[in-house]
Amino acid sequence: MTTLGPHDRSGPATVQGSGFGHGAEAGGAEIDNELAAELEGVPLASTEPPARSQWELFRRRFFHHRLAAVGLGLLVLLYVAVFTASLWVPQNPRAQDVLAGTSAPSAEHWFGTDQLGRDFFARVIYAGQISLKIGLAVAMISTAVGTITGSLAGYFGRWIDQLLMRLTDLFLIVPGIAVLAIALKKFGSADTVIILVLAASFWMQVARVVRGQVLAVKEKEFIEAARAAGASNTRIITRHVLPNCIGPIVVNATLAVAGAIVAESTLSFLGFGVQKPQTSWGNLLFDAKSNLQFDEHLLYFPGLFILLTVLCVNFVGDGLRDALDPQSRR
Amino acid sequence: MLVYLFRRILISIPVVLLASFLLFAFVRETFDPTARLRNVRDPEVIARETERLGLNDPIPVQYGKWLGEFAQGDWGESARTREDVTDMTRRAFWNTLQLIFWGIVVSALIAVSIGVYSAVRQYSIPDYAFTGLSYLAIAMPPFWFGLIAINVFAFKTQGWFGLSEPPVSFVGLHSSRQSGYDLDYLKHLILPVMTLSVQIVGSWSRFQRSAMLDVMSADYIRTARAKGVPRRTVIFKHGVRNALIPLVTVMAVDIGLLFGGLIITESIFSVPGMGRMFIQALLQGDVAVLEAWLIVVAVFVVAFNLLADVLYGLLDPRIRLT
Repeated sequence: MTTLGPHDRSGPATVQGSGFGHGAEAGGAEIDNELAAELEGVPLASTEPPARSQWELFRRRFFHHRLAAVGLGLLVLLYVAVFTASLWVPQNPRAQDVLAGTSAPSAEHWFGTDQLGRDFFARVIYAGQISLKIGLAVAMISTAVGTITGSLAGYFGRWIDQLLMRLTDLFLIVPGIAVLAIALKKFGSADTVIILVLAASFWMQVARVVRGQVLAVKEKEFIEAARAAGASNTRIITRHVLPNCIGPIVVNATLAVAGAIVAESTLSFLGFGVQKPQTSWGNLLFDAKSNLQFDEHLLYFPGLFILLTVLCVNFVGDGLRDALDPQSRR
Repeated sequence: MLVYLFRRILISIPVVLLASFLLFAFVRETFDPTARLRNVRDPEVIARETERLGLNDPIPVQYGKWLGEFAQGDWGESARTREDVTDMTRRAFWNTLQLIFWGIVVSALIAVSIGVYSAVRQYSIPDYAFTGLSYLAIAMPPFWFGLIAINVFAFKTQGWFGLSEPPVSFVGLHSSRQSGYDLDYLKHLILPVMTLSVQIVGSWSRFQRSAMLDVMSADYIRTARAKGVPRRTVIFKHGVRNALIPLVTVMAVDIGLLFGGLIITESIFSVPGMGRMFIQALLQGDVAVLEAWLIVVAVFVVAFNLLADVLYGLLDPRIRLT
């Protein structure tokens, strides 16, 4: 229910049938033929299309989506660069040069310096550590919790289902950012608290999607077959139901990274998020707010990093949506 | 129709009540309404205040009392300014309503135009350009856009054209000692409305494009073309009118999001509306204001969703509300 984040109304990618696991044979064979036709260097004599694993098919479809491939590359680069900053960024983000003060970008200071003369490139890169960490952690926790509750609600129905739906309804009528801000005011603003509070509001979206998916899948014949063969509920959920919901789960998890980064930066910008001396991209923008007339490098660079991250994540999400959809014919 | 409306309202009431109770408990747990007496040493005084505010009662009892007073229009007083919360809310809500109104009008106009154009000229260069722009608009944090807008449209533009003062204003809705709806108002309105709209335009235009594409591939469009109706008439009379219907539902859902956007916009542009009232109340731990704010917003959002459902039924005769 990321009331902050981008309107990801594209939300539940409708993965009908199944990409992973059951019943993909019909679709898979057609794709194989198409791919085989594209392949050069395959001996024409062989009429049999080369066998491909699901993973291979998925990879081909994903990298066919060029923006998604570029997005993934940039994202990996960004994460690696940010978290290895101490190895390659020469400047210390805390080293002040108060007399020098603010300066525009130059060869020496790529992103210029801030009011205290600190190298802004180093500040932005190190701030990324907090922002990206929160994004990833929130996505992982909310996906795990959302998947578990969503599949329980969808599979067993009844009160847990009712509870989940009513809870999400409640969150739809009050702006999420307001509730998050109050929660941070209550629980403090340590990293872990921010992560948990954001995850507490993000899991419901995942749960809702998974629930819908599970409701559709559990009526399928192969579930009945599994039950007839004597499989336990746990086994049916983990081995038969969830693998067929992987598409929407993965897409939502990806988008949650972006949602969480924007949510965190917004809260930090409003003053309720990450607190000094720790710095995230949102904090840097909070500082930039005080001088919008000059020194716009302090305003542009942190925002560009947020924008770039969110764009990449959205592209990767699009690519995954296509790649995990067995109906897609790429 | 009336029966439907009546039933929907009846269903909404427990949802709002439950939400208000949870929020009430949450706020009471978070903030101490006697915090302003923090500097008073005498425990007697604090005890008396606690008793006066009924803070020794269990939360449900406190909630019941509060709800009774709230329903009668007594929303308490601000712990900071001693002002009547009802008056504060009324003033703030009016300012916010103006932003919402202009935000929706501007967003809808731009988004529908872009969406229809993109659909009619699918895969043209402008279509691709709009698609790219909408990706940017959706990915951009709104508060960053607001700051950039101030930097570019107020300060940079002033420098480029050598103006004596920024061409647009970015503080409040009126200059001091002004309150009319004139050029001054417009100058104050441009940047906040832009900030509020950018993300919404990005997502609504994508939605409008796909709705329009759906409609344009419908049989009745082909029929209309086949019997010789001019293309323009088909697009606007048969196409757009039908493609607008799904957008109405999306608009309603986004009203909730809009309040989140208002908190950001109003705090950047110092608009004395609901968003800023919330931030200030939260920073100061002003319990009465926070409680009133949450309920007013919840009721507003629910009412808007209801309105959208009703509109949906009115606009599309194929849908029967029962």
